[in-house]
Amino acid sequence: MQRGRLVRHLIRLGHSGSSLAALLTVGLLFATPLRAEPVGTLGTMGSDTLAGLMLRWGEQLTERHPGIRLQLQASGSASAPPALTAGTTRLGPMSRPMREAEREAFIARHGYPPVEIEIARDALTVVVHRHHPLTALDRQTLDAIFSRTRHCGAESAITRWSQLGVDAPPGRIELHGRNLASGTYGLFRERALCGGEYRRALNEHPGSAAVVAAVGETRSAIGYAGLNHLTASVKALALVDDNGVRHRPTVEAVRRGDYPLSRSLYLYLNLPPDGTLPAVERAFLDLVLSPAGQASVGSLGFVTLPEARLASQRRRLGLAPLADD
Amino acid sequence: MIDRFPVSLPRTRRRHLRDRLATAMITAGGIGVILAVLAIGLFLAVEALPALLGGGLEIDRIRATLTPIAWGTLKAAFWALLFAIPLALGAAMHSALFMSPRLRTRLKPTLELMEALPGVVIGFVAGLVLAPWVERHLPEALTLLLILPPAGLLAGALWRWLPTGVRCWLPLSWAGLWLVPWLIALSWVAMIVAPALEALLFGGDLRGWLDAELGLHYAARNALIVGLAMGFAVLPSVYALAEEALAGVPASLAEGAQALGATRWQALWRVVLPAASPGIFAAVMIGAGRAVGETMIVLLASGNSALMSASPLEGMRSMAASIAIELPEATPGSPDYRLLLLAALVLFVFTFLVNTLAELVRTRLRRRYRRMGGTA
Repeated sequence: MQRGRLVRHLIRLGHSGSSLAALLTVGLLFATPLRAEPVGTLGTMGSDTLAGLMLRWGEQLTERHPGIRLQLQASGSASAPPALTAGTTRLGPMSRPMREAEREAFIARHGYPPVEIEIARDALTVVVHRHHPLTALDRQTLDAIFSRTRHCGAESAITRWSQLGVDAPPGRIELHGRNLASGTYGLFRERALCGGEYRRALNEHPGSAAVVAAVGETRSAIGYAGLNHLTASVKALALVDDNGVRHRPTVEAVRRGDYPLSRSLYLYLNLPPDGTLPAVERAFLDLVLSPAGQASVGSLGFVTLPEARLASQRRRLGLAPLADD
Repeated sequence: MIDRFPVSLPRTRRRHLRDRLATAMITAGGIGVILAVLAIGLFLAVEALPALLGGGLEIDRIRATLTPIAWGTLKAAFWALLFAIPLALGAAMHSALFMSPRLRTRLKPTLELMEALPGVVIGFVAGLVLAPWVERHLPEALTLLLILPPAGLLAGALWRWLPTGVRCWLPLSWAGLWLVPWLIALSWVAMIVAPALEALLFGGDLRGWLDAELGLHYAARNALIVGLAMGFAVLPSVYALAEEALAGVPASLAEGAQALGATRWQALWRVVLPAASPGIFAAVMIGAGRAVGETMIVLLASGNSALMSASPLEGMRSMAASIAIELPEATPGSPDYRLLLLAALVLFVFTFLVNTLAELVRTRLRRRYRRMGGTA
């Protein structure tokens, strides 16, 4: 029995590539069972927006704890709640908060709500071609350009740049955006179109990078994409809020939450209210909510959390306070 | 002889057994594939039909969702076939009946190699290279499209006026080769003439003119681009099947017609084409089936906007592309999910019917050729 388990460990660790380190770890595990180095595979399932970030964290985690391996499945935010509910995963990264129906399904199965952890912030930017003369848009105008319902209160639809009085390319405005099922599509519809309907002429792309590429090719185009997908071929517009204040999509504005199209990115965790965090999850969250983990957030183009928010979440999860607190 | 007999008997028996085993396995495999196809259809029907039978979805919503994508599917397929069918059938006729055998043995595999190109690659090139280029050079692209088909006809007309000596140098059976420099030269002329034509006819701004005079809006990813790219993808299969049908027409038929005084053209038009017409029909059907089911090209090159416009200069959204984009992120059991599966069911039934029809027609044609003493 004991030997069978050992062999299985060895096989699993052998697969992880760092077999020598793994052997040492196993040796340590058996020698000092009380101060065990966490060993195991951490399965996650969810957002594809967060796939790159999760992958980076997985690498950092394996560096810190050679016995842990992150197994990533990124098929969209919508795949996380069912997997958490069914118990096939304990960690679900999502680019939007869980919907009420998804939360209720989880509670119905487990009897307690999932733990929500904010791991980073992001923003949607409205982009035009780099030579476009426009620099800012207000909410009504944005809605009048993108929607056919105009719930934000604009009086008439805008289909040509000449209607805005800017010296812009002739012809109709070409609209670019994400596909129906993506969190980005839904967020833009809720926040920028006041919950209305997109115009049918919207070009729907399967990824934000494709939106940016398409807008960068066409002078009369406008589109929206995540902050981390911006390139030099497009220009991100400032948004004017209802009080007439301009907000450029800068990292600081997004971190403060001033920029109107900011959003939070989440990690959902299946944790009973009285239970303690398993060692593998603890190691992962300790990394995510640390300066090193947040550095990865920044390097991938997302916006890092404010320090106060990091500290409060660490306290809530029972993680040790950060060293410089 | 006598003492070899008992040795070889077990061997034949063993071979017998092996044959039987192989037959059984192949049959089982075949039945398995048929069952799998039926199971896919059944799964789609079971998952999608609740949507139709009042599973929380109003008929209006189904109509509003499915109509634009059904329209987009047909529109994309129409433009692709419009581009592919004349080219493929023309090429098939030429290579089956006129082309020199030496050229044909080289050309046919090359054309069939085109079929091996993955749709993603074609779609990628169309969406990221062709679409931006055409957008920047719209007059050039349109001139090319207008000039190249008549250029082929013009070459034919000019060839007839050539002195016999030159004609021997440019035999009709090698037209596939000597037409290439001619077409390249004309393309070059078109590229040079286009800006001048634009300045002369449209005041130097074709897109502005289209917009102001005809109310046509030019979208960078449009039906024309999709038609070109998907036509390119459909062309090889249509060509291969049509060529097979034409080459399979017993030579005695055409020879008989020519012996009775028909010209080559008359023999082709009145005898060979009618004889092969079911096969050509099947080729077109297979092409249509592929064009309707093709996913990645439409996804990458069409813009995926659910428009109901007939304009070739505007985009569309097809069923297959919708399924590919939306299904991975749709929550299983949700109305969106059921709608997508309904679209998948429609697509499945359509391609299944079209392919079955084409296959039936082909089998009947083969039988007919055999009766007439052909080789196919």
